[in-house]
Amino acid sequence: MKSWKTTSAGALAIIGAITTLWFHRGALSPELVMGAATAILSGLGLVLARDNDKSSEDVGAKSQTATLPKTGPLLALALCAGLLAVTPGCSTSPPMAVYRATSTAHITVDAAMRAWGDYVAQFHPPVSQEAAVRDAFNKYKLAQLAVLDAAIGYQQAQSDGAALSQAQRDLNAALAAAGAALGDLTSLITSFGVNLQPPGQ
Amino acid sequence: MNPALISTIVFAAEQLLKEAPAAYAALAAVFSKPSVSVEDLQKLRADLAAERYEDFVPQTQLPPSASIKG
Repeated sequence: MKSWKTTSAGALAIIGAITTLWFHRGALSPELVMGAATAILSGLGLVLARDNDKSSEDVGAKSQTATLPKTGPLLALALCAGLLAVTPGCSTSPPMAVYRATSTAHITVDAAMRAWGDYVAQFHPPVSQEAAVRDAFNKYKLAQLAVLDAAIGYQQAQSDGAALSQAQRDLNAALAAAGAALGDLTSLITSFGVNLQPPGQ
Repeated sequence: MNPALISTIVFAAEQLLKEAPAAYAALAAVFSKPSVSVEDLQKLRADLAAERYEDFVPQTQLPPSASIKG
């Protein structure tokens, strides 16, 4: 394991999130699930990142995968948002939790996509790779729109118990799909060589 | 809250502020909002629906994609 520090930290974040879900398995709420999903994605980012004392050559990266200037904030953003999302003691309504999680994901994906845009301009990857990223981006976008539709439905169903129960189920399903789509998109971009390391490391 | 967790959050926030002040400001605005309305969710939805792959990748080799509104 060449980058054992970031890999260990990422593994711990993932284990922590899964443990949290396990202990609350009888009473999962949308904010808990989304918080855990964010923490798991943050952990994946750490697993994929390299330690700050490892060069590109140390980890076998090609020279064209050198750090891109706009990717630095991604890890800090994911870490910050993940920690805030899983912080206990904050009683937020499901729509508020969705608003926060979706806004954070939106900011994160914007940064990742801009980094991908820089990478395309600089290295001209194959059209097949671009098509894969565009498909993943569109899938993520549709999934997030479904989450927001479900959150709006939940908000509008507040006074109707039966409708609220269905809206909660719709929201949970949409959140699970959005979490998976977000993970697929960021993993794909990383797999094509876009580095999530802060500049200068 | 665990003091180690607090320091980690502060560290991450400092890094974010230093490297991406715009992203930090956007994140701070989201987390300082006391409540969320249907209009807030609809505005976020409209912002997201308006984004296209070509906006992020101006030098793409792919043909223009159709707009996705969900």
